[in-house]
Amino acid sequence: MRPSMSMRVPSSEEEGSQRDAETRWLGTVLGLAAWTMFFVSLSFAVGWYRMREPWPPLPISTVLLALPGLPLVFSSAMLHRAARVQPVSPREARRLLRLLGMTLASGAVFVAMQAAWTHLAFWNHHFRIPDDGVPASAFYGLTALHALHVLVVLAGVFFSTVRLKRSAEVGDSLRRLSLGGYFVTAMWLLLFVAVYLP
Amino acid sequence: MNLFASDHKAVARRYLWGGLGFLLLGGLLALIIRWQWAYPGQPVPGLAWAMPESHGAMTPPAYTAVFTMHGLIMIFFAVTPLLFGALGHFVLPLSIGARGLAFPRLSVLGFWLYALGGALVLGSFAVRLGPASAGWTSYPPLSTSVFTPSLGQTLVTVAVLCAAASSFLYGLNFVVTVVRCRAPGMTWGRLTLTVWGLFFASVLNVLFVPVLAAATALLLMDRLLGTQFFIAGAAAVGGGGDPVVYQHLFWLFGHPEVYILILPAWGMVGDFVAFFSRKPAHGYRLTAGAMGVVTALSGLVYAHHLFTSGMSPVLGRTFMVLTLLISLPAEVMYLNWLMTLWRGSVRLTSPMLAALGTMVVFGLGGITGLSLGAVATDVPLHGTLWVVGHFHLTMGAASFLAVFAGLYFWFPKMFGRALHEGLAKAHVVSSAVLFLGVFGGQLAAGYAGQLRRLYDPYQYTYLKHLLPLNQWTSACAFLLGAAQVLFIVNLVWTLSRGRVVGANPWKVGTLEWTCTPSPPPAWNYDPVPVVLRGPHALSQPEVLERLGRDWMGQAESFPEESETEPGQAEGVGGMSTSGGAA
Repeated sequence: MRPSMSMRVPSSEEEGSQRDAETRWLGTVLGLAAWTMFFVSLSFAVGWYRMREPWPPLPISTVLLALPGLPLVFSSAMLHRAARVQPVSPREARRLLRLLGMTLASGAVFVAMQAAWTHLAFWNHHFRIPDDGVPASAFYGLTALHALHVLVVLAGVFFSTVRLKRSAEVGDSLRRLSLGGYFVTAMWLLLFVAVYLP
Repeated sequence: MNLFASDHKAVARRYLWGGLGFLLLGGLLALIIRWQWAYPGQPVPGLAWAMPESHGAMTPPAYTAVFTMHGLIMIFFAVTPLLFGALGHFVLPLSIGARGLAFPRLSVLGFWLYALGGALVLGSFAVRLGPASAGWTSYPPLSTSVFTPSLGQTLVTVAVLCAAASSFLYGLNFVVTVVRCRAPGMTWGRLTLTVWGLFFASVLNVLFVPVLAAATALLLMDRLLGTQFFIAGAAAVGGGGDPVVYQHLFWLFGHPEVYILILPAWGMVGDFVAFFSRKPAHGYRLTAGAMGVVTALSGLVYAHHLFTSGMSPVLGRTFMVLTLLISLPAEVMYLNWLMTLWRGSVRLTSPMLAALGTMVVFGLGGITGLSLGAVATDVPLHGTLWVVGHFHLTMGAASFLAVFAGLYFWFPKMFGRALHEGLAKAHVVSSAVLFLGVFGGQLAAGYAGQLRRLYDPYQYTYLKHLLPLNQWTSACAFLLGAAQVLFIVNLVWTLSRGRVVGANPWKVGTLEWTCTPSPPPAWNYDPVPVVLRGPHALSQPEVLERLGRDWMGQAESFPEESETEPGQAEGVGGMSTSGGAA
């Protein structure tokens, strides 16, 4: 069937680029889905200890431990919205920059809050790794491993923001980074259930 | 040579040299272990410079370091990188008609992570207190800083993490490449069995390498940050962890790793048996399906490694049944290979001999593994050399022979020169026979009760009579080491003066042999071939009659109707070729 005159036929270069973008998308989806096994394994280890003996309550209240989830979810939501913006006009570009700024800021708040809670637990509540055994190890260790993943996503957003400021095309990267945002949010929920809940 | 070139063939060559180097190092360490068991406490010839205080004799700490590093190096830095890094990187895009891997830069990153890991392993030999010495599995509490405080253990643990990251990256790359980058007409049913093997093994890589990464990350935190995930008993300050958790995590990766190594080998055996019997692979779909079933079951059988860890009897029985079940798909594959060989026009080329060797040693490894899959027989055999003999036959000898089957087969495509067939055959046959000598000897010693990991087994009276057996086994090992000189000579000679070959010296029809020269250009295919049939279109009557040869290219069409007898072209589309179903 011949395309109608109003229909724009994509060039082979555009088709190739679209195909490459779809391949990168699939790679990201598969990679993150597989990497879920990393956190599932960590949770399995914690679950093993929790089945063995009662898990003592952590020295920070559960509500406080849950609080960083808000900026993380917000950060992920902003990244999700940013990934859907087409910066075709200067106004849209400014909006995209604003969304990326909010993503970075709320992500940084999440990391800062996690750092504050671990700091608080260590200094103010004498929650020391050797003395408090596995619960302390899991609290600090798994929080740090998760925070490292968040920082990787935030670093990606930061570099995309810099590239955007230099007028580079970042739509494809942002779509894949938004998957990273969902991933770290979901893994934080897993961490919360496995480690933070008493 | 550009060390950062992202062409998959260049990356493959880098992995090839790295993997062969580590294979040599791991092999030399194996010979030192065998020397210790044949001549306990006597100076190892040529090692006085490394251990001046003992005049070159192995001490117990040096011995534990040597067997630890042998296992680690062979699995993480030699055989896996050779199968995937070298052969997988080279073959997979070519076999599916792709211009390259889906993520070329990822494969460069993967190689450099592997190289970093390799450098850390080599560096660990030079640090105070020596390299890792907690066994290749790095079981805690031995691998925690309480028992192995050396920097070497930490370096090697980081190295394993690097190798794991590299495996994850190329596994992901291979899966996406097969899914997204196949040439037009290259349906799933037209993939070579090698690609099927690499694909399933890559699925296992991406699923289970993160589990190893998690175990290793927790172990590193125990070593470096003072966490207590795996430190228990008197070594723990308060509360304390549980080393058995590490064992579960490790074997959840470790058992699939056996299949990660053997699935590509099975795929190659399936292809080579067909190519060199000049027959379509019997039961192509069943073979590919059986590989899929093994892949699905591989993560569900891991706990047979933990039968002696105090596991619940109910769990033990469950994992026993699953473990024994996994032998069924393997038997399906074996039957298919035998049926392919049956009445075939078998050509005993070097890749075929290596493939047959792989079949034999893996078959023996599989049979000896049945006794370890059943709880009742595993309990007395678990701590003995029987286990060592079994897994060396399956993971060591079979993977090694498969690597060389692949290398002898694709070397002409990689370098445009063919290795010397006589030397190659002598290498393959002597290696296969000597593998049976070495690991058969280990099985016998294990059956007689020799415990594994012993520095000097003969300090126990009941093992003293095994000294002659171990000396014979060691003699086989030294000869096996010497046999590798044949390959080194062949490699050096071929690269400098070897016979230049054409595009298709083996006369087979897969894309890499029929649609691109040897070695292939940067973009592999120009233009990308359109695939018309399966990979094993061999000895088809129509082809013999019309083309005068017994093979046909996957993308090759018959000559125009006018050039052939009228009415014959119509039957071509329906011609039955193995795996030719769209």
